[in-house]
Amino acid sequence: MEGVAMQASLSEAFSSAVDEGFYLHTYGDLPPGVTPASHYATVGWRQGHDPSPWFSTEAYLEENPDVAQTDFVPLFHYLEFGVAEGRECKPSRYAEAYLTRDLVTTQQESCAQATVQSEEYEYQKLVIRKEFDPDFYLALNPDVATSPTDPLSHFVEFGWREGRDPNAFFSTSTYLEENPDVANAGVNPFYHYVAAGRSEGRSPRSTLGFRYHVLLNQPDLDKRMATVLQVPTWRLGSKFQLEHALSSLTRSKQQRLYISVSHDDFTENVGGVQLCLQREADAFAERDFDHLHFFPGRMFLVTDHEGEDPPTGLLINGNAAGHFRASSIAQVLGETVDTASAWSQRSFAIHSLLGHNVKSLAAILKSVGMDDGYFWVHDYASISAGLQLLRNDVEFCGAPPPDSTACQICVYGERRRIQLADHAFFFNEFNLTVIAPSQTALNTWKGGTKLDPRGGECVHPHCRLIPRPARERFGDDHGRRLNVAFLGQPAVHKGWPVYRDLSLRFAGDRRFRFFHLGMHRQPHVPAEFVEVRVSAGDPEAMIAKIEELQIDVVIIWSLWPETFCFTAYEAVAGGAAVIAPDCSGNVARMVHETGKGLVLADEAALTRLFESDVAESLARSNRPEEHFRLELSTMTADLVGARG
Amino acid sequence: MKVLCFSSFSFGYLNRARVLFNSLRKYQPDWELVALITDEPPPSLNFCVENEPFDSVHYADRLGIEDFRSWIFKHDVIEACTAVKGPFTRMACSSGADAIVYLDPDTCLFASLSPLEELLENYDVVLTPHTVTPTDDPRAVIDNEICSLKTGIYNLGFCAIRTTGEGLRFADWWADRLLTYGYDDIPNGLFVDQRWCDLAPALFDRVKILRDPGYNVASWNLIDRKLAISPEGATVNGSPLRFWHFTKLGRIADVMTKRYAGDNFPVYEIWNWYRRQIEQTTDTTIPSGYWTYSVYDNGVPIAKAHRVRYRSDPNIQRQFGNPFRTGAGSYYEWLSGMGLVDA
Repeated sequence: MEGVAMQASLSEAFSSAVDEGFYLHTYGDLPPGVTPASHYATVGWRQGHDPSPWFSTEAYLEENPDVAQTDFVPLFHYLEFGVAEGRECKPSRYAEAYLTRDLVTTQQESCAQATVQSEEYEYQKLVIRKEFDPDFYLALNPDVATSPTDPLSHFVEFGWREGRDPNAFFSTSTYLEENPDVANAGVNPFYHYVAAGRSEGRSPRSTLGFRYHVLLNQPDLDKRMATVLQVPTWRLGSKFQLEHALSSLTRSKQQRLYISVSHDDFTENVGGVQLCLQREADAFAERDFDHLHFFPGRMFLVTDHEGEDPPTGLLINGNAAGHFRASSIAQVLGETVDTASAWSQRSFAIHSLLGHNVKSLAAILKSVGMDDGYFWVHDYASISAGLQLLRNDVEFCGAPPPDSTACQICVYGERRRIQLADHAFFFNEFNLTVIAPSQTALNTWKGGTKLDPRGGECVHPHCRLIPRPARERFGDDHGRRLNVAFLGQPAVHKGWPVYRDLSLRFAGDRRFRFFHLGMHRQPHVPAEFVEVRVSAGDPEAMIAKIEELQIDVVIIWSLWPETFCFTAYEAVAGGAAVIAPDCSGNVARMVHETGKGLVLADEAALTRLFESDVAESLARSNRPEEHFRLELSTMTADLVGARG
Repeated sequence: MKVLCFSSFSFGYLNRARVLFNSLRKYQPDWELVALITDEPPPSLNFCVENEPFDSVHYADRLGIEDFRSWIFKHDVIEACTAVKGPFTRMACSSGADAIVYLDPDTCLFASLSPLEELLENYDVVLTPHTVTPTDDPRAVIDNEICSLKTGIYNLGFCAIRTTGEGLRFADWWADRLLTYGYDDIPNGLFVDQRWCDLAPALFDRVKILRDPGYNVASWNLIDRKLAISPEGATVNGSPLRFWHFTKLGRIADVMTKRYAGDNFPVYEIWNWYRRQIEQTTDTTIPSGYWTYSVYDNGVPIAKAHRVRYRSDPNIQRQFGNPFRTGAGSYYEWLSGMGLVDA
């Protein structure tokens, strides 16, 4: 770059490398409006001025005659090319005078310290500049983008102390954690790595993988239980209140009764299963069924084997009736309902036994003469205390025998025996038909259980994809970045760490734009957060947002064999392609069957795909445009109806 | 084959020993399990062998070691607990067992050791090297290979012998050496019981150097051992995981494990499990750092230098037959007079 042109586009790095204090001290005041950097870049260097104590213009031009023959500003040449080419610089002949000048006042001393500090910063910037990735830094730290400080200066002066990373390949926090000598010295860890650590064989970032970090912070099941057990906010209802509440069971004139059981009050909590139960409840209401829904009085991660006559929550025809002792419910229901002659059509479905004491629950169901019912495989809680069959939350376990080494070392292993016994008791008590939302879920369940569903088994998907025309288009696809998104809950079993690492790895890559569509923003991830709330009132919110943002690719890196996964269907319905791992159950199956995306072997394959030509096959502009709506099932209501 | 399996420890390692012996009960229910304890129960501990996962306890002071108090004073806790392995092994050879298996208290079985019993049909001594694959990693050369050159080629967290033939000759020789030279003195070529076994393949026939990657897995050989866990069990490089050596539970283990396990995450799972087991088996009535032979009879901790001075000078040993005693004419008083006891 020639000197004159330089004036117009002084780089931030160049400007910060010019030491204002030194320049003004050495060469005197400048005309108003002229900064030391602009003066040096235009006039100063030609006059032999030095820009900083550590850089001699004259020495650089003497030792580099090829540079002297050009019109390059020497300091700029050094920063842009010289460092990388191995050229050296020498200190200014005025450096000593400047650095040892007589300082008599506290203020001057303070200024001197600041100058030394500033020189250190300048030197560090010089060393790390080539490997610092400003695009990555800005993508991960939007607050820096709005600050007047350039990214490199921000990192050197503040960022590393705040745990920010200089590029996708260096982890500030890991380097300090794994190199206590560097941490104790208070040195900028990235500067240390570039200047010394790399040649000493130190690792720039954790090579242990996200699973190590999951395991590092893994509490055992008891401790986890203690954190979720909430103090009840309800008061236990009396028998009289229960009798009064049950007197409202008049919807069907005692002709049709449906009982559902799950882990919570689906009218109060938001989630995929809760929305399914809401639809199911609506469908039964339309058909004039009376509907009782039972849920545990306290949040529980496993069956409440130890519970004696536990408090149980009750919804009657969708309305909260209160919490009552399980034995009271069984007694009052038995007295209220004429099981011999009434209730010509009755059935029940277990959506989840978590939090329930199976013996108490069985007594409730028996009190109204229930024998035949349905058991939903929304997860694998009937096979393991770890619902997702993830051994220690990090790897699909394949439901091994309970006395296996895998179960021995798993945080869920010990509790699994109890959970299996509880489910075995329940399957013995009733004639259950097992319903799985996908063939994959049914196959996985059958492969991992000895439970005998005397009523048989069936597959009943939660929704189907129905073709529809596209919504209004927002802009032109061609030439834009590939929009990559993660949808929903940023949980480990949903593959959030894999997506986070992918977005970190490619944060500075201008081929991609990363999004997170969900309800809660996650810190320290270079993905644009877009709030999306799916609800009974707005069930297609996610699909609409995928289409609006023209998301090309959705990463659903589920570590467990998903039984269904609405998110995958929403992604495809919105026109996105899905990338999923082999082990993701129904997600992988859906991708295989629809051809809407790719199924990969492991995380290394995912990284390789992004390093190569992911856009070529998966960008919307390179695929046939197809959109869908979701035709939702009404769950058990479809099946009870089918039975007549 | 009648097998006697023992572990040597002080009460500070009772938690680890419980985990080991629980695993032995699970996978080797027919073995006789013996705890060799170089310690006395702390007064706060209600110690009943009936409640422990081993069949019997042998205390080191009842092994017939001559001038026991003088002898034990020469050793710190690690030296003592390793040195007593020799005389106990020799004694156990006449117990009626066909084979003796030693396992450190911080090891744990994850599968049956029946292949070891088969090996003992053809060999009299079985040893496991720390590492069995040459490395190109400069750090591993220092951490693993050079460390093995200093402390011993074979890890003596495990050793198995037949009680006859070359096994018995080995036991006799090892016991003699450990009674006299069971010290941590690397500059003089000694490292407790371990360096001695470098000589075993040269001094004895029928010695099996067991290179199966499923035996004695530890941070020093993780660099070339990949742990996998499947529904069928745990494997190391495809071989069944027999036993793990959970050496140096704490920060040192964490650093070395991370360095060599890398992203082989089942290793961290197995360590997490071990930590949970230790938590469950820890008896809080045992004071932290407890070892009955760690203090003089006035409660002052015995410095390593006091032990080294004592064991280095036969005259001092003759003069002070019970070096734990304090008061007039004691070793402690003599040290104090020399200004060698911290006030």
